[in-house]
Amino acid sequence: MDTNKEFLALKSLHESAALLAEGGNPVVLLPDFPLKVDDKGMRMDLLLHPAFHSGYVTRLFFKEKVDGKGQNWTPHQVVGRAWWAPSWKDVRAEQPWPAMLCAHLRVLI
Amino acid sequence: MNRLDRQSFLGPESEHVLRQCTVGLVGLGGGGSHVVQQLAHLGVGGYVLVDPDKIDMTNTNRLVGGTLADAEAETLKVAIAERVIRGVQPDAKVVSVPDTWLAAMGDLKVCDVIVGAVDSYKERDQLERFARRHLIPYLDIGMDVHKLGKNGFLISGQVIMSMPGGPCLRCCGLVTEERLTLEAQAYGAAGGRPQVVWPNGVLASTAVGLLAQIVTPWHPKLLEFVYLEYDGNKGTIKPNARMELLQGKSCPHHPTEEVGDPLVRHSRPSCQTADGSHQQKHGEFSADKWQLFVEKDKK
Amino acid sequence: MRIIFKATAALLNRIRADLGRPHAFAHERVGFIAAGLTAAAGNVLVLAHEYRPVEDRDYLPDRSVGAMMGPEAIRKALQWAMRSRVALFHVHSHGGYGIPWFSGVDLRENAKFVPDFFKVAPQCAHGAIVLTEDAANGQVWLDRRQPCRSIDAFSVTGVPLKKWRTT
Repeated sequence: MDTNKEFLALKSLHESAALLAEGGNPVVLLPDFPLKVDDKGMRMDLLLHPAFHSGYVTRLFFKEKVDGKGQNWTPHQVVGRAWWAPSWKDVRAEQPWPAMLCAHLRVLI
Repeated sequence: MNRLDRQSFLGPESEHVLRQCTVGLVGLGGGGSHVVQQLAHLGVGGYVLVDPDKIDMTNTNRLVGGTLADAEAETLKVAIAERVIRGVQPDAKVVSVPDTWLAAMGDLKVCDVIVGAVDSYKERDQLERFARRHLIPYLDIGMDVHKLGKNGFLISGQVIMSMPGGPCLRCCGLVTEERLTLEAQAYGAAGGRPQVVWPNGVLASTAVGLLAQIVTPWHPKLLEFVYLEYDGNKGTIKPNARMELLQGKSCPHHPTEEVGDPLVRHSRPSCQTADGSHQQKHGEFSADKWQLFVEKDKK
Repeated sequence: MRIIFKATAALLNRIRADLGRPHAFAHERVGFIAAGLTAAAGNVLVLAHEYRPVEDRDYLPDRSVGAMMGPEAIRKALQWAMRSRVALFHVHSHGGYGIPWFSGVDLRENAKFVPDFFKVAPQCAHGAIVLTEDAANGQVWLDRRQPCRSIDAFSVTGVPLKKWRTT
């Protein structure tokens, strides 16, 4: 996977996306990402980890828990900050990052 | 007469050095409570105590300093630890955080050493990564009781000293992707693992000895990386084979450039426009902005 | 708000070893340290992680000072700061032991070029460090337009751990 190409694809969707690193793996910060939960708009920092993390093949971290969505939210430290992640398995690493992000965001449906 | 006179072999400045030292303790159960007690006796002056739990009756078989009255009253483990500290170090600087360590990151960042006495591989992995990101030595202790079928049980454990740049828990094979995956799959089914007081005492004492070597060494042959394994059935604590193999080696799991808060480098200070809205502006982090950044982190 | 500079003993040893090498004409050697930054309990932590020496060919002969960096040395440092978005600290050594202090020449020269790093890495802080064999001192600019501050304390991660205050 071409990290730069995948990152630019995400950046084209969300201009303020930033490419960071954790344990040598690329990680994408999506500050103030617009979300729609039960037809209500909200914004939140997200962190996409497109490689193995804490027992999952890929992971999406949220700045806060989203009430009523997802299960088994657990707290994590990534890139020196605190995040939350629901139990949401099997989002493959071998896919374009925009598709990966969408697959993770299905937890909010 | 000074209460620390008998440890003067640690050096003429040792009392001052220990008093100026701040140790972060994550996990104040069976292992962490032993460590706290010993650090207090040793004369460590600063503590960041982190544990979200209250003591219950089943902890009283091993939680040093915890009484039956504490279990009745459901006393916070951090409160018990602070009481133990103040019994011999009444003027210690103690920050107590009855929450997960993620709520204590600001205080943990300024610790000289962090000791992890936590239950899960995920916690150890992320706590160590946090310590590396802030150039803090990390000491990890843990014990387990394994069923050996008809042959009874094996008590085992480890003490690992993880220094920034040197071998880590992943280099040691303690934290692996397989273990993290199994742990994630077993979420919520951890239950009460077997725990007893004496292995925690052995491991905690060993960790405190390593901490003392980091802070006030008493001999010249200091090791930068330590991985000791405890066999509670044989009564031994000895170097794991990897300790010699990995000595002096650098760590591929924690790139040295991953220090600090990367969000600082990618943040854009905003400026307030005439209509009161805030616009993102590509500009400098002014001294005032640094003050705001620091104040925001404190909250 | 205190400013605390941290580095591993291994990194500082590498820096000291490099700065101690003789140069064909410069009396001293200089280099740059890259660091990460974070806020912590009311303090700013500067966390050093990499060192790059000024290359031999990038010094200019100047007998009036210990070392004079040429424009190529500055350009390379600016490029590093810009590409990696790092906090950059100029470093040199006075040798000897004990907490060092910047000379008048150091202070004058630092004030000339350090603020320029904000042109390429405005989100970071930048500064200068001076070493001895067992200690260090430093200045940091949090903002291009405001005067620099002294680094308040140093911490060296290693066995043994070493800490000292400079303010």
